[in-house]
Amino acid sequence: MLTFVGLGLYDEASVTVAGRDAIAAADRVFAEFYTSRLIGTDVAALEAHHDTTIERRDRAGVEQHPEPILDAAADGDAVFLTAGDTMISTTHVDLRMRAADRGIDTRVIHAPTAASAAAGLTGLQNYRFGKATTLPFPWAHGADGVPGSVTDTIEANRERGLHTLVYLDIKVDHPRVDGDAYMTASQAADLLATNWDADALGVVVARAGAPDATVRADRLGALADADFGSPLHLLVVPGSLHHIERDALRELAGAPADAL
Amino acid sequence: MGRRKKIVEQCERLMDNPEQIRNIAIAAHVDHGKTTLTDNLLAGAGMISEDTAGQQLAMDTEEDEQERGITIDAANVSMTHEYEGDDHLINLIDTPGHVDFGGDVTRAMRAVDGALVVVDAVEGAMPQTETVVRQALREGVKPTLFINKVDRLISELQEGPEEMQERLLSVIGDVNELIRGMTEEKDDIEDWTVSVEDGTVAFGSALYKWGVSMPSMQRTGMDFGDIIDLERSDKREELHEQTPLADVVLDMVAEHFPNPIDAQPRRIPTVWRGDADSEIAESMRLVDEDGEVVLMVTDIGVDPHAGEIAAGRVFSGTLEKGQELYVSGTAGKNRVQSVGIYMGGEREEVDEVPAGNIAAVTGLKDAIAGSTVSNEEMTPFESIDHISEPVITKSIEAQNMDDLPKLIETLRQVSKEDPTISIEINEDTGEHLISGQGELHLEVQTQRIERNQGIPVTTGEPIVVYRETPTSDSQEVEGVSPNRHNKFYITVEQLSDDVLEEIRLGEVSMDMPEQERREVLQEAGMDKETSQDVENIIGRNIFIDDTKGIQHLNETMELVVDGLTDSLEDGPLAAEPVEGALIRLHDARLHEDAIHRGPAQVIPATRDAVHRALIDADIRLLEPIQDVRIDVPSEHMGAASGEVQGRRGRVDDMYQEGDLMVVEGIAPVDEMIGFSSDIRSATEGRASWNTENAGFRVMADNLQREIIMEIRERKGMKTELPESITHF
Repeated sequence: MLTFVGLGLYDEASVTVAGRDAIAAADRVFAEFYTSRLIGTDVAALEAHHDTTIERRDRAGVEQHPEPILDAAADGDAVFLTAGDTMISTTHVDLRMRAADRGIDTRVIHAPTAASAAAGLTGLQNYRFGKATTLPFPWAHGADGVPGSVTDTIEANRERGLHTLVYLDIKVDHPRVDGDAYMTASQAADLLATNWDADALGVVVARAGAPDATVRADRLGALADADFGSPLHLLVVPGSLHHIERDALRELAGAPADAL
Repeated sequence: MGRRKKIVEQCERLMDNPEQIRNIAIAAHVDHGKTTLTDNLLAGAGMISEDTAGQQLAMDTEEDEQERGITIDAANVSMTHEYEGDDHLINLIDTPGHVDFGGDVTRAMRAVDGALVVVDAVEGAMPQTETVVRQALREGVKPTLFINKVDRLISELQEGPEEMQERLLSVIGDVNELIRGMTEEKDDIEDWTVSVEDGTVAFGSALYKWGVSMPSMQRTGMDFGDIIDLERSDKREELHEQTPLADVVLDMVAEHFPNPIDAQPRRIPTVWRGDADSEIAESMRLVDEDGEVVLMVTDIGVDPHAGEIAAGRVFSGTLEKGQELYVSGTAGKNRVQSVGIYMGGEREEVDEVPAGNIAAVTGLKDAIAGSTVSNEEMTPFESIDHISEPVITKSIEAQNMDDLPKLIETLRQVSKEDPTISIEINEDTGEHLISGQGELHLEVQTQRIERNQGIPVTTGEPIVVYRETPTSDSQEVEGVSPNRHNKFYITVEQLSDDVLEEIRLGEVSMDMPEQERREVLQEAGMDKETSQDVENIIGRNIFIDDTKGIQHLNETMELVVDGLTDSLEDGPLAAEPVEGALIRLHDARLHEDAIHRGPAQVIPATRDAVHRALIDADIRLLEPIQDVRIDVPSEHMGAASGEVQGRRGRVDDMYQEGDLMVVEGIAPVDEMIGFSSDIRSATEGRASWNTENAGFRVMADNLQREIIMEIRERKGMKTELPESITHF
């Protein structure tokens, strides 16, 4: 059995009870933290919390050489952990299908993820989100500034009145950076303000799931100059606003009246 | 006032009169006597003593040049000569004749308007003669001919007037055949063949310092009969006084070579692709000393006191100290610290050097041989590509770890001075690679590092540079990214020989206007549609984008090219460069989000797919080969041809020429390492030979695996090939 367990948004307490039980029952516990990580904890604290040993896999160890995970799942109970939910944004559906190919049973235990927090914290309704996109570091993609596909996505959503959830790039163990790099919401707002539209409204969500989670709405140009503290951040570019959404952004996200 | 100073002042006066300037190069096969001739000209102009000319070899200033008795670097010199009552300023470049140093010849030709081709009367036109004439004509440089060592025909071979005439006419005929072949298709060149009647051919002996030409005979009244008499009776001194070589040759230079005003309007369109209607084009055509400054750097040298010196041709404007100039291909400006002209091996600083001259400049720290230097940003000159490419590599290490930084700096400097040298720095292992034109080329360069820089080095055995090439067309191959969300569908086809040749010669590149590129490719036989879809030219391979309207592909294309470049630099057989592949992208499936189709996904997907397609296209190892010509007495002919055949070589022709037999053939460069000593012992030192790099050839199938494993082992790669390789 291979069980995909989402660890939730912030620290070792963000996992669901069902997830905790699955980890406790597993023979082997694997995890990947190259797509995202729990900012409020580390692997050692997680191991202590769950009283288990976590085998951390890098990108190649998941995408190119998943055999050890699959072998463990074929022989016994294995769990595979990621931050957030295992099947949203970073989709590990490929790993699940490879397991199915080998006749291994699989199940998914969900957890809160950035997409649900974005709606949950900003008051923007999840019915009114369009396609999501990721803003990469300028050096990490094949074009200059902001990739056309990012602004195309935002604009296509806005034409239909829809909000865009913009994930911000994370580089873990990347040869180009020392340590880990997390794009901040102000860097993202600056990139979009410079390459797209400085007057457009943006909503920053910082440290979703943490006790000090922060939400701020303002023009992108103004968000570019603000500091939202430690990671992880994400950014929402709203489309048209329902009146309740407008009120929420003003009340809960401090949006200045002239920006709405 | 010293004599030298006087000449410098005379030169400075003449520099402002382009009509009076001749920029020339002396070029020839090795040992045909260029440098001795140059000494004669210098002595004639009063630059060195008459007595030592011929032995002094004033131009061979490097210690190793004097030791080896050959010219290695192209050297510059200026002199004055009076012809028909007018003083002329002659800027002269002596070039190396040995084939390994051909890059210097090519670069020198860019700076000059006339090439004095020197041919040995006894040996006749040789392979290197053909190469230098070709190099000159390609650059739009006008040739004249000096047939040297005529004294040997008279004294050694005891030839009579008729035999001599026949021999000289055949040399002229050979050279003219070359000239006709190269200029037939050029409409901007009238008849450039040389002839005795026109005065574009001179004869003589650089060693004994006499010379004749049709005009000189008319002037002095000395005909061939008189010359034979004097030479036979050993009255060479008299011969020299009556008809001195320097006057005969320098008169020919002044009369028959174009001055910059005549030459530049014709040469600029050949060597510069910028806007012909621009002000700068006009100023270059007119050799306008008041126009914008344009200098084409053809040589970088190092002076122990002044540091790096850039030498080159001033095509427009006037170079002065303190100017801030752009250097093509680099950002920012360099400040000119001094300007000068050359006298022998020495540089004389002057206040300014106007258009039409060859200048020596310090302070251009970013310039390399081939840079365009100007006071406003401009289209650079056509790159001076020397057509032969590195075929031999040696590893080079500093003996003392402390010398490591200095060695790296020196290696970089060497490749800056000689673009036919290529350097691969490996800071991790400290074992660097230096690649060049041949064994001698590398030996000279490494000795110079030891001697001039005082860095003791250890060098490895010379290694041949291999390549990999597809020998058939592949089926469609699917490349999948590690996350399996992105797929690329590609094929590999063989590039036609004609297209490959155009890339090799630099006639087609991504730097040229698209329309022009299409035309060249179509003329070389590429179909129209393919030529319109060229996405990139990667090394000597072409990448075609056959896809239509795939969303997000445009922002992924750079990564696709990165993946292709990786796979083509390190081929699947032995990580040697791939050439001659036409890679076609037929279709692609991409993830919606940029982060899931980033470098970590796209590069491995395309790199793998290209390697698999290359294997499917029966990729094979290519090795460099050389044309070999051996001149040998008939009793040693068997031994000589055996030396070629024993080296996996092929003898194509054997024929008699004079009292010698000539053996012609080809052999792999790898097997030719160590040829010099073997042929010497096989023929008791009686053979003279010449080799010339002749491109790459597919290696025989029964050797493929063995050589590939040798290379893989040397590179520390796995010594097994992918199982899918079954075609040899």
